[in-house]
Amino acid sequence: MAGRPGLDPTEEGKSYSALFVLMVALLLVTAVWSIWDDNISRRPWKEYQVKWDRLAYDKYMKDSDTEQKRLNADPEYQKASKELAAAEKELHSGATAAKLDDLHAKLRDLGVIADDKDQAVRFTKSFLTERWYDYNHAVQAKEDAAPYKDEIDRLNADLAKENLVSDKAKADVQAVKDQIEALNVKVETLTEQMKKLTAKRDDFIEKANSYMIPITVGGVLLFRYPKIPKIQQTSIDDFDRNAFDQAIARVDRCQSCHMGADKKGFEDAPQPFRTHSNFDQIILKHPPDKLGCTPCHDGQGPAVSSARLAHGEDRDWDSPMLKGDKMEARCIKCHIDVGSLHDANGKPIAINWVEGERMFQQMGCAGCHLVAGYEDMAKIGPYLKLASAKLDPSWTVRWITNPHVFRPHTRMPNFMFSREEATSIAAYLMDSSSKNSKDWLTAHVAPATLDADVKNAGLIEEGKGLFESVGCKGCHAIDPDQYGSPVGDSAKFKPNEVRTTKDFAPNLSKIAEKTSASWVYTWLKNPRDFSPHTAMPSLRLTDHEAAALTAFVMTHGDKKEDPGVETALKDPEQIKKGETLVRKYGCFGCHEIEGMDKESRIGVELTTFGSKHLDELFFGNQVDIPETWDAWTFHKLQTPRIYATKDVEQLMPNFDFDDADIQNLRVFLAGLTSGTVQERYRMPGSEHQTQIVAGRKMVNYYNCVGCHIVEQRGGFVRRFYSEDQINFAPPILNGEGAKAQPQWLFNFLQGPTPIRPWLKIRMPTFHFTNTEDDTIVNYFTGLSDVNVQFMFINTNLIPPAELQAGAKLMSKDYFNCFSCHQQGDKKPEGPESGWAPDLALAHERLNPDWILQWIANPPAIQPGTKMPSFYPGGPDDILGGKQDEQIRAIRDYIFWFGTHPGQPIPGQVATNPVKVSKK
Amino acid sequence: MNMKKVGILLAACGSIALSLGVGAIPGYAAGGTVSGTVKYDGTAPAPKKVEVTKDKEVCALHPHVEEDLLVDSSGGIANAVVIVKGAKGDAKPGEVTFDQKGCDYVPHVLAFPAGSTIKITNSDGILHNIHTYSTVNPSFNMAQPKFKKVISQKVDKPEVIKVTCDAHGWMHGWWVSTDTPYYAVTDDKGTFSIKDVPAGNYTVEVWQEKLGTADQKVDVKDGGTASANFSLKPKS
Repeated sequence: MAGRPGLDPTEEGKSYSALFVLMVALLLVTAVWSIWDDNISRRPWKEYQVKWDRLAYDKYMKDSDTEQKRLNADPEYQKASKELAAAEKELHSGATAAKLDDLHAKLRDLGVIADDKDQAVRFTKSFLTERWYDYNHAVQAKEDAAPYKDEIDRLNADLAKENLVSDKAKADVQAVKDQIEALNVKVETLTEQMKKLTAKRDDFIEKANSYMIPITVGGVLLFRYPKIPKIQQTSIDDFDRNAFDQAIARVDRCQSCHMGADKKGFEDAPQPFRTHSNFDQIILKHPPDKLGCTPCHDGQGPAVSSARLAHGEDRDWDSPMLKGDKMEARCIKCHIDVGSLHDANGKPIAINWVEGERMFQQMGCAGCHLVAGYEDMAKIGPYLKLASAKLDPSWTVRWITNPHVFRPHTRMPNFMFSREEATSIAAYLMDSSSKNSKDWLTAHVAPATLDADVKNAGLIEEGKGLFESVGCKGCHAIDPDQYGSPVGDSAKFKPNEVRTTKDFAPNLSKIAEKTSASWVYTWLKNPRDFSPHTAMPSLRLTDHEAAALTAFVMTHGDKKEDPGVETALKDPEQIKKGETLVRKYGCFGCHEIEGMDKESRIGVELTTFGSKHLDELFFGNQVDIPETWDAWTFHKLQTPRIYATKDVEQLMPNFDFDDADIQNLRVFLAGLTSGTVQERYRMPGSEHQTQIVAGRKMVNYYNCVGCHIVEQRGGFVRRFYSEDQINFAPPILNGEGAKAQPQWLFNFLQGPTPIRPWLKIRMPTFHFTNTEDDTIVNYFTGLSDVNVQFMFINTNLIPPAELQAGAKLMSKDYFNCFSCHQQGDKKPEGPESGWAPDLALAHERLNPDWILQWIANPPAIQPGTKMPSFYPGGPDDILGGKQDEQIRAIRDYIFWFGTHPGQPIPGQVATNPVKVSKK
Repeated sequence: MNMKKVGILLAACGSIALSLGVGAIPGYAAGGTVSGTVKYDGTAPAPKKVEVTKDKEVCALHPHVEEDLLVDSSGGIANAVVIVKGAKGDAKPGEVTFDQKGCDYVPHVLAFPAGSTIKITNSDGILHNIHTYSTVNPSFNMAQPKFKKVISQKVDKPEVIKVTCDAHGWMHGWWVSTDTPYYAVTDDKGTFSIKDVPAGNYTVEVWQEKLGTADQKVDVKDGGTASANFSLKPKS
């Protein structure tokens, strides 16, 4: 066969159909696969939504059933449904039904007639319009308009007639409608009433129907189908700002799976459908449709292809989802005062962050690490510019080698120095402080009798009594196994629990090994005279008391001299090496050291530590530690030099932290992030909040909680008081800002004067500066949210009748207030454990408004107080038995006698004048 | 169904109704009595004297002793509370009086069925306050000055409640709110008797403020008297 030129007959004869079929098949498979992959395997959230729809449907149907059961048992519902059924039956049967049918037939006929009549009216109106046009046209064209005018008149006359007829027809229709309505009205009213009763059930059904959409035919349910799954997302355009102050948009699709988070009623549902915890505080105040989820939780908001990726648990994603306590780390982004955030039960929401922040402050982390907001923290370690005046040389070397041997709970970390290095450092510290020490020792000579005093058994016993009672135990422990006031997690603090948190103040069980009696004596007399910024206050001890306390504490521990140390410390070579080491390890971060006032911090800045990416964290040779921020940080805090290698030296010392303390610190560190949140998303910071945060730093620095309960925490010294002696413990300061006059509180903190003279424990003198004192006063008024500080009372303007009423109410025959309260110099009868504060001081100490609230209901302000409630139930024969007036009269009389000591009440003869002691 | 069967059925119904009716006739005393003595095991310490330090013109009119353990010459302990545990009966909460007289609580131990109202009276005419240390019931601390003759306080739930007066440190008493109507407080000789206890096996428990609790089993029979004698040792 001859073919066309150029054609290859063999090629033409080949069949490609098999290949073609294969290709088509392949194309088909890929098409199906791509559709499958796109719609099913990459959309796991769809499955969750289908499950959720089913779950929500079941729940609402169950709710509706429960509601139906309740309705069935409700007599009102039973009555209403019976009446409705009866009315419907009556309407749709017998004569009424026939009548209704008739009326409907009639309505139909009359309707046709009415339409006809109405049409006639409308036609006539159209003709009129037409004629008016003709008429106007004729007038304007100067033609004869008269015929049109006649026609218009005629049509108008017709329209009037037709209107009458049409109105009549409409009225007939309305009359029949009214008749029908009259028959229906009963059923309609009852149905309305029924709807109100079943509103809740109907709402449940409606909700259920919105999840599984019902298909009904003629009221019969055929089947239900679930909603078509849809990505649920919240876009937040401007939550974060980047380093260039540009808005960064966020898209959160978390609700595509977490469908129940913003709905109440799914508290027990399995995840991802559960209702958000702390619903009222978190969800209602942070609506997810405006704020999304990731501002608090982190994670990869837009990811929906798997739970792992959505939660950001991928090495390449910067902010994996925060889990457990770590979530508390985000509150600080928008709230200035995280410590005051409470749930509905008054429990702190971010307690772990708060504990972590306190650890950070009290452990002196800011001494080596710069963190924005914590730049000005005072150094937490002892003052070393006078080291040689205080410290035993041999002890100093042993201490520097490893402080945890001498005091396992000390805040001082272990730098793991060799004895050689420790000797060098001690040599430098002793040498650099030698001149200062000499001057100081010349100026501070302990009494010559001290040597004999410390051996005096009677004095030692007296000192023991003082140690137990004046307040030392508020911070210090003296038993080697006892804890002092704790730095770390205190929620679990129990008197004898073995914990490994840190002590705020040194354990004094071996104090004589460390220092001398003469130093202890001068220190006790005035700590600030030795160390200008110490947190240790003065207890205003007399010389005798100071000697007794010194004698007692010096029975704890013995001097242990290591041979050769004295000589080694004087070696210039050692001193020089020591200086290098002190600089290298940054001892000046916590201690004031002569000649090193201007050194900068040696640690890395941690201001954005929480945002550090894994690539920025050096794991060294630690291959067993999981590659996460959490694990890195935990191990860093637990064993600070764990990531050191042959070439990478690490200097951070070992604090020997308790695991719980590490976790809390980690929550705080996780909150140190880069980027700022747009102003409008932040909780507007009030002045109170700023004051509270500043005050809290003071409370942490001076450890007020050793003795007092402040913000529901602390009062650790209370564990030494039995139940019937608790009246001798330092007062609880919850609500102090509302109670005390700010001016009084300020003065009290400057120089405490006894309020409860029977207390053996003393409010110490902290030698606060004006700024510090103001900060504390503002802290308390801030916590109590006091805006109008207090009202003033001019006691000279109180009407005599009110004073007389107040005096009568407080008298023995009535409330007998002075049965327990001191009254100037007049002490109450009975033992001191039953006494209450001097009311003659109240006028300058207490907020007048607070007194009114206090008398009205003492346990509401201080649960468990010994002050009984006198109200309701005041006497009827004073001030007409009116409670408010009686309480006011008592308050005013208290203020009056405090300001008019010894004077008789106007209009009365003094029988027993009140004397007030003058300070 | 024949008439005979109907007749038997009717008769049976009638007799059941009759017997139920008889049970409800008032005055028919079912149940028995639990009685006995609570004694101190060993030689009782002499009660400590309490020094009156306040309001002596009222409080020091009679000598005071610590009332937390009062033992008579035969060893009987006063003011112990005996409860027949689990005995069902309609608790009859009513009104009981708790007086403050000569700066003592009278009675020192007051027992009552839960739901009762305590009528707190003040015979002294000086300021007392009633401070309860309760956890199950709401605790309260009410002042009772001279003019306030009566304070009424309802105690809804069973609990042993310590009562003190903060104005007079030595004053303390107890309220024992019980969940059964079958209880008694021992008299000065340590004896008690609980009547009309429905027949059955019970645990009888004694509580004494200083010595704690002890219990034993009793079998109460209709019309009988079951005895329950306790011997309490000081807590070691």
